[in-house]
Amino acid sequence: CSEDFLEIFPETTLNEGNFYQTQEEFILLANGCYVPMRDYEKDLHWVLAELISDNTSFQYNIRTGEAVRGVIDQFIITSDNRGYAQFWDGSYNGITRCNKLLAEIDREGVTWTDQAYKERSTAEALFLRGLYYFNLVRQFGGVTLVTTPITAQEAVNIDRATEEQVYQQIINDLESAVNHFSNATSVDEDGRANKYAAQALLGKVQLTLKNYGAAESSLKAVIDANQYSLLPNYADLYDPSNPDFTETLFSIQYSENNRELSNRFIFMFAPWSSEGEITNRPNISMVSAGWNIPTRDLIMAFEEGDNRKAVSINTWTGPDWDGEIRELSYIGKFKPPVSAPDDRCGDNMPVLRYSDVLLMYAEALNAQGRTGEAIPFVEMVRNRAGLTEPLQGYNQESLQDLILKERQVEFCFENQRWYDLKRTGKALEVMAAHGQREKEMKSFLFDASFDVANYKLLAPIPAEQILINRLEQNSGY
Amino acid sequence: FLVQVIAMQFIMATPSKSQNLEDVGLSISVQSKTFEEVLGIIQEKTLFNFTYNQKVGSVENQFTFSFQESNLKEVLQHLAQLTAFEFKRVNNIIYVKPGLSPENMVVELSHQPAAVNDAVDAYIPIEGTVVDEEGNPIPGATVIIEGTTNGTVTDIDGKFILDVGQGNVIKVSFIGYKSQSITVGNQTVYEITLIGDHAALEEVVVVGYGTQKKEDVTGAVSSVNQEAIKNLPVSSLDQKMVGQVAGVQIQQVSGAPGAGTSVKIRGSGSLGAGNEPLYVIDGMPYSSGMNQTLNPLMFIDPNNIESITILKDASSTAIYGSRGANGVIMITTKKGEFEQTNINFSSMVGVQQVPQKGRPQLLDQREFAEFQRDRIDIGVRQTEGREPTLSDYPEEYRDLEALSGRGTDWYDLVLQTAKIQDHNFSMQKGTKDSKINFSLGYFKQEGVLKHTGIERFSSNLGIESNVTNKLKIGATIQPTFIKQDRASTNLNRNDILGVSIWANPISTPYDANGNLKPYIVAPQSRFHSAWSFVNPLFALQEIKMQQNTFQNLGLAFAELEILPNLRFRSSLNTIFEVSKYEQYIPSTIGASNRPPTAGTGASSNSRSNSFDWLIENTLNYDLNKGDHRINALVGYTTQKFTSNTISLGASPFPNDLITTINAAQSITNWGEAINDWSMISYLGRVNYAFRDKYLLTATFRSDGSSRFGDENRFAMFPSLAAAWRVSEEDFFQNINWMDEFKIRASYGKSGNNNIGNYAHLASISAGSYVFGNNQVTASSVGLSNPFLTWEESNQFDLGLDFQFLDSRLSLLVDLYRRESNNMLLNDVIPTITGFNSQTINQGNVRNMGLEIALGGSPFVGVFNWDINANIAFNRNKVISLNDNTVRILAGNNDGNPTHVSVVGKPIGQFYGFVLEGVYTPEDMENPDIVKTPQVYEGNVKYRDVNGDGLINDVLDYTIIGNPHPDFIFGLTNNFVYKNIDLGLIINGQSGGQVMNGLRQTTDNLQGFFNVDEDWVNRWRSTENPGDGIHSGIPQVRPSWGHRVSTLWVEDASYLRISNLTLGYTLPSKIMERLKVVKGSRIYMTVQNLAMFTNYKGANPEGQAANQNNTLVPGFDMTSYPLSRTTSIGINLSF
Repeated sequence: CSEDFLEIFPETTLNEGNFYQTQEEFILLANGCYVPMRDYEKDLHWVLAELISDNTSFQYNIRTGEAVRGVIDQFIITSDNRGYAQFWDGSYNGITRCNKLLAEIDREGVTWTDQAYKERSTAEALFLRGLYYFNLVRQFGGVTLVTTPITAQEAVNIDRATEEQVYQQIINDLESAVNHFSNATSVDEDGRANKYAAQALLGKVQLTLKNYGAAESSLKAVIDANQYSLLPNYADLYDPSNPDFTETLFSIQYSENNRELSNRFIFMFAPWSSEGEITNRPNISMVSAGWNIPTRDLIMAFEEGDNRKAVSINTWTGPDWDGEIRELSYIGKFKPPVSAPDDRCGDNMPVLRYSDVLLMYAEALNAQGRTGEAIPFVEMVRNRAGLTEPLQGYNQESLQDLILKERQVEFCFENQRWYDLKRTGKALEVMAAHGQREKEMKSFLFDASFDVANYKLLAPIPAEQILINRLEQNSGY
Repeated sequence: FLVQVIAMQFIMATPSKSQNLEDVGLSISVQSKTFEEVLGIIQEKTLFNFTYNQKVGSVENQFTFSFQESNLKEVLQHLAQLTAFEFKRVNNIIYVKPGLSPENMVVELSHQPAAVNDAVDAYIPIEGTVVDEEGNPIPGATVIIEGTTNGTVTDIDGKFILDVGQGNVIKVSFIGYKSQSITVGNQTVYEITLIGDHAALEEVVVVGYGTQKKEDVTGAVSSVNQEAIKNLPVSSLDQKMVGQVAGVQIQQVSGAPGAGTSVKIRGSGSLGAGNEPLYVIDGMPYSSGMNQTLNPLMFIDPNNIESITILKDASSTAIYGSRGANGVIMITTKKGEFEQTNINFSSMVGVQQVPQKGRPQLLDQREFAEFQRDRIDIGVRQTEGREPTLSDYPEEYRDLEALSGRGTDWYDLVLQTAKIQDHNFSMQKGTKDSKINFSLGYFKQEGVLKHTGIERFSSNLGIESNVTNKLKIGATIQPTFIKQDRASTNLNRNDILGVSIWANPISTPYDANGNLKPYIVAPQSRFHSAWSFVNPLFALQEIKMQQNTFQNLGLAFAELEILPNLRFRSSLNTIFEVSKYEQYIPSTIGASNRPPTAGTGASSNSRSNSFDWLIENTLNYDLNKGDHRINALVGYTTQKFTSNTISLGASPFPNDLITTINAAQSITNWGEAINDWSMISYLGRVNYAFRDKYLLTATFRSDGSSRFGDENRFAMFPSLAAAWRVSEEDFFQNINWMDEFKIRASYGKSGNNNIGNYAHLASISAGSYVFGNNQVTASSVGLSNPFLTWEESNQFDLGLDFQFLDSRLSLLVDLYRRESNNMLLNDVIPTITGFNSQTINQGNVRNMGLEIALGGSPFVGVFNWDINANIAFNRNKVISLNDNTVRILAGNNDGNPTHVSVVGKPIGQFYGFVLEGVYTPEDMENPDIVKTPQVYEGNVKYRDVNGDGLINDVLDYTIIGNPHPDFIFGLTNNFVYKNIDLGLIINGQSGGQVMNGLRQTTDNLQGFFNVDEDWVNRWRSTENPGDGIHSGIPQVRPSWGHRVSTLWVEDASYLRISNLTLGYTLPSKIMERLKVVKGSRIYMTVQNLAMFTNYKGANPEGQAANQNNTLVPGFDMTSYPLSRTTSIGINLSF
C-alpha cells in the first residue's frame, strides 16, 4: 500500500515510464522532431542565412538594440552573439529528438499496425537529423557529432568532429532516409518529409561537397520521378491560404491556428515605421520590426521583365526612420495574417523547391563541363519567371555566375543566399563589395561594420558552449 | 490572569504557625485523581492552601496512592517524586513549582514573628500591596526580610503586613515574576510592582512532536520573546522575528504589503532546493519555500500566536526528516486555559511613509538636458559629420537656463503616505474540563506605492474537552481570507518603480487640464533616442492585479491515556486553500517605446485550489524512576498534498468597458497544472535524563516521498544529542554566582526535499505541429533521473548555556558545522545533449558558524531594564560541485551572468568586470593596449582578466564581491518604569555587499534613460575628463558602459532601528473603577525608525523577485521600499 501511495505520476503530462508502446506514440515523437526547426526558422535562421548576406539589411531604428541581428547584418560576428547560441541549442535539441526516436523505435513489444509508419518515422528522423547537421556544418564547420541520446557527462567528452566526418554522417542519414521512405510511400502526407525531399537534400549536400556526379544522380532521381513540377505562376508559391505541395518538396509548416504553430514573418519584415499599414493589424506593435529589408543589391539583381520581382518585393511609401517620406521596400513573399486577429501568420517557409532541384541539377552538370546539358534546366526556371529569351553564348564560368544570380532572385528570403555564396566561393568578394556600398549609403553603420575577413565564413562556436562543453573555437574569434 | 490559584476560596482559619509539616497529621487515599484534585483534597484536610501556576508546568498524569496516619511532609515528598514539582511552604500557603533538585523538594521557611532578640533597633509594621505590571494584585507572593528567614505572603488582594526594621531589605518574589528587593525607609505603605519573568515562563519549550523543559533541551533551540515583539505594526510573524534570534537571518526583500521575507537559519545550505526553513503550525508542516509575492505566513494572524520556537541543529530538526535541513520554525497558536476566562481586544492604527534615505538621486532637469544634448552632439558628428547646432536639439532642451530644479520626481509621484490598521478580538474560556478559544481579526495595510495594499480577515475557533479523565479530544479551525492588490516591482527596468526611477525629469505626468497622461513621449531627435514610457502613476491606477485567497487550517485530535504513563495521540491536520488571481491591462497602457493602441486590452487569470492533509499517530511514554527519567515517542504519519490550477489568458478586448473573459476576442493561452505529492513517515525519539544532570536525546525519522526516484524512495534521518548540566554537580554547588551551566553537543542528519514533484521522471512534452492543414501533437522526451533524491545535511553543534546572578544574566553560545551533501543542482550542461540544464544531486556546501545570545536584566524593580543581544557569524563555502562544472553561472544582465558559485568560495559571488576607470590619452598611446573598436579615449576601461589583450564578456569577468554578511546582529531593549514601558529593537548586518541591478539602466549613458547624479562627473573631453571613474557617453554601439562591474557592487552593511515602542499601562486604581476592564495599555510605536547604511538604493536587503535567491543573492532590482510606520494602539483585557 505504501508504495502505491508514494507512486504519483503527473496527470497533466505524459511521462517516459509508460511511453514507447504503440505506433501512435512514435508518430508523436516523429512529429516532435520538426518542432525545433520550425522554431528556429521563425526568428533565427533568416538572420544567419539571409540577413547576413548581401540580399537584405534592416531599417535603421534608433530605439531598438541591434545587439543580435543588426551586428550580423553588418558582418560584425562575435562568439557572444546570442543568435549563434540559440541556433546551436535549437539544432541540438532537434538532433536529440531524432536520436531519441531512432534509439527507441526498434524496441521489442511495440505494436505497429502498419510497418509503413515505422519506416516513415525512422526516415523522418534520419532526414531531419541530416538537415539539422547540414545547417550546422554550413554555419560552424565541424561540429560535435551526436547520434545517440547522451548524458551530460558523455557530452563533455565529445570533441568537435571534422567537417568531413559530419558530412559523411549527413550522407549516411540521408541515404538511409531515402531507403526507409521508399518503403513508406503509402503513408505520405503533405508537409512531411518524403523520399524526394531526402534525395533533393542529398543532392544539395553532394553539390556543397563538390561531388558533382553524386549530386547529379541524386537530383536526377527526383526529376525522373516526375512527382514535382514548377507552378506556372510564381506567386502561387506564397499563398498562405493555399499552401503549395506541387513545387515545394519540403517546407517548414506554419499555421495561424495558434501561437506555437504560427510565425511572425511580416511583423518582423515590414518597415517598423509602417505601423499597421502593411500588416493590417494596427494593434500589433511594430517596434522591433524592419528586418530583412531587401537591399539595393538584391533589387538590382532582378532582370528587366522578371515577374518574380513584384512577387518577392513590395514597396510602401511613408515615413522612414528619420521621419522623411520615402518609398521603402520590404519582403512580399510573406503575407499578413489571413484570419488571425493578431500577429499569427501561417505562410510556410520553403526549404526545398523543384526549381531548386532544377538549378542544382544544372549547376552539377555545368560543373562537370556539361554546360550545354545544363542550360535547359536553367531556362525552365527563367521561363516561368517570364524571362523567355533562350540563353545563348554561355560558357561554364558565365553559366555558373548566371545560376548563382538566378538562385539569388529565385530563392530570395528563403535562407539560401549565404550558403550559396559560401558554396560557390563568392562570399568574400560579394560581401566586400556589398559592404562598400552599404557604408557609402548608410551613415549610421558601426565603424566596425563590413570588416570582411575569411575567418567569418565560419560562424563562431557560442562562447557559453566553449566554456561548458570545452569545445575548440574556430580560428579568428 | 496568569496565575491560577487552586484554592478557590481562601480559608481564613489558619493552621498553627508553629506547626511544622511533619507535625501535620494526614491520612489520605486517592484513586485516579488529577494533580489538582489531589491538592484540593489535601487542602480540605489540612487547611493549607496551595498556589500552583499551570503556565509554569502542569501534570497530565493521574494519581493513585494511599497514606495512613502519615504526615503532610511525607505526602508532599511522595507527590514531589511523582511530579518533579517542589513544594515550598510559607506560613499557611504551599507553593508548587517545577523542581530542580530532588533533594529539596519540600521546603519550609520560618515565619512571623521575627525573633525578638534580633539586633535590630525597632520593628515597625509596614503595609504593602504586590501587583503585576498591569496592576492586578498578586496573591501568595513571598515577602522575606533578606538575610533572615522571616517573612510572610500576600493575601488574596495582594496585601501583606510585616514587621521590619528600618534599613532592612525586603525581597518580594513570586513564581513567574522577577524578584524585587526594597530597602525599608520611613515609609510604611508600599506598592510593589513585580515584572513578569518571561524567561521563567518559557521554561517549557515547544519542540517537534512535544514540549520539553528548557533545562532538558539538548539541541540548539531558541524561543522568541513574544513580549518584546507583540505590538510591532507588521503584517506577519516573520517580520516580527527580525533581530530576535541568533543565527536567523530575516531578509525583508520587498516592502510590498503581504510580500514574503527570506528566512535563512544558519546560512545557505542548498544550491538548488531552497534555503527557507520549514514552518510547523500547531503540528502541521505548513510551508517551506519563499513566496515573495504573497507571504504564506500572512495567513497566520500574529495576534493569535502563543509561542515561536526555532529549531536550529540537527538534533532538534531531524524529527522533521527530509524537511528539516534548513531549520524548523515551530508556531503554536493561543488556546484557552481550564477554569479561566480571558477576553482581549487590541487595536492599532498607523501611517507608513517612505523615508528620504534610499530614494533615487538622478540628474536634475538641467543636468539631464545637458546629458541629452551631449548625446545628440555625438550623433550629429557621427551621422552628418558636422558640428551640432541648437536646432538639432529637441525644443525642450534648447534653453538650459529655463531648466532649473529637479523636475518631475516620478518616484515620489507614485508613493503615498499610507494607512495601516490591525484589530483583534479574542476570547479564551475554560471550564473544569473543557475550553474554548475564539478570535476575530482584521488587518488592512495600504501600500506606500499607490493602489497597492492588502486586507486580511482572520478567525479562529478551537475547542478542547476532557471527555473522560482518560480521553481528551479537540478541534480547531482557522479560516482566513486575504485580498491583495499588487503592482509589478522588484522585476526589471520596465516595472512601475523601474520606470519611475529612470523617467525623464523634464516631462510632466499631468496634461494641461490636470489629467494624468497615459503615455509620456520623451523629446526626440533624429540623432538620439530617449525612451518614451508609460506614466507609472497611470499604470498603477489602471492596471488591475488582484489576488484573493481563502485558506483554512483545520485540526482535530484525540488523546487517550492508555496507562498513567502511556499516551496515544491521533490527529488530523488539514490545509484547504482556494485562490483567484485576476489581472487586466487595459488598452490605454502601452509599454516603453510602445504607445498604447486601442483594442489591445489583455487579461490573465488563474484559479487554484489545494488540499493538504496529514494524519499523525504517536505514542508517548514517560517513566520517572529514581535517578532516571525517560520520555519516549514513536509515530507514524501520512501526508498528501494535491493542487490544481487553471490559468487563462485572453486578448484582445475590443474595449476596456467589460474586462471579463467573455468580452475577449480570443483565449490566447490556457493551462491546467496538477501538482500532487505524498509522504509516509516513521519517527521516534527517546529523551533520557540521569539525575537531571546527564541528558541524552536520540531521534530518527524515515521519510518515503513520491518526490524521490524509485531507486531512492525512503530516506533515514538519525540524530543524537547529549547534554551535561555541570551546574547540578555537587562540586558546583558552592559557586553561587552561576545558576546554570550546561554543555550540549549534537550530531545528526536532516534533509531537504524541495526538489519539485516530478523531477525524477522524464516527462513527455506535448507540443504541436501542422502538416498541411492537419494539426498534430508533436512530442518530445525530457531528461529523467531515477536516482534523484533529497539533499542531506549533516550538522554538528556544540552549545554552552549559562545563567548568572540569580538568572539576571544569561549567555548562550553555539558553534556549528553544517555540511550539505547531494545537493540538488540545476546543472548547466552542454546543449549538445539537447537540453541546457539538468537537475542532479551533487555537490557539497559547508556552513560553519558561531552564535552568541546574551540576555540581561541590569535593573530590576521600579525601573526595569531587560536587554537581549545576539550576534551570529556564518561562513559559507562551496566544497564541491558537479564533476564537470567548476562553477555555476547565474543571473542575467543583458544575457550575461551576474553571479558565480565556485568551489572554495561562498555561494553566489558577484561576477563581472573590474572597472579600471576610463581610457586616457596615455592609454591610447600605449602600444600594449589592443585598439579594438571599444578602446577610445573616455570609454569605459575594464580589466583584461584573462590577459588575452581583448575585453570580452564572461571571459574577462571575475569575482567582484560577496553578498554574504560577516555577521548579523540584533539588540532588543525593554525598559519599564512604573506604568511606562519603552522597547527598542535594533538589527543589522556587517559586511556583505549588494548589487543594484537597475544600474544597468541608471548607469547607462546611451541617452535612453535618466542616470545617477554621479554621472555629472563623467568624462566629457580630454580637457574635462571628469573623476576618472565615470566614462563618457559612448561613441560606438553596442555600448560597453553598462556592463556589470565593480561600480555596481556596494556595501550592504546596515544598522536599523527597527522598532521603538512607548507604552503606558493604566494604573490599577483606575482599572478598579472601570470594573469591566482588567487591564489596559496604550502605546505608540515606530517601525523602521532609521536605517544607517552606505547603500544608495532603497533597501540593502532587496532582492529581485525573478532571480533565484540562492544563486543570485543580493541582487536588488527596483525594490519596493520599506516604509517607516508610525502607529498607536491599545490593548484591553477583560
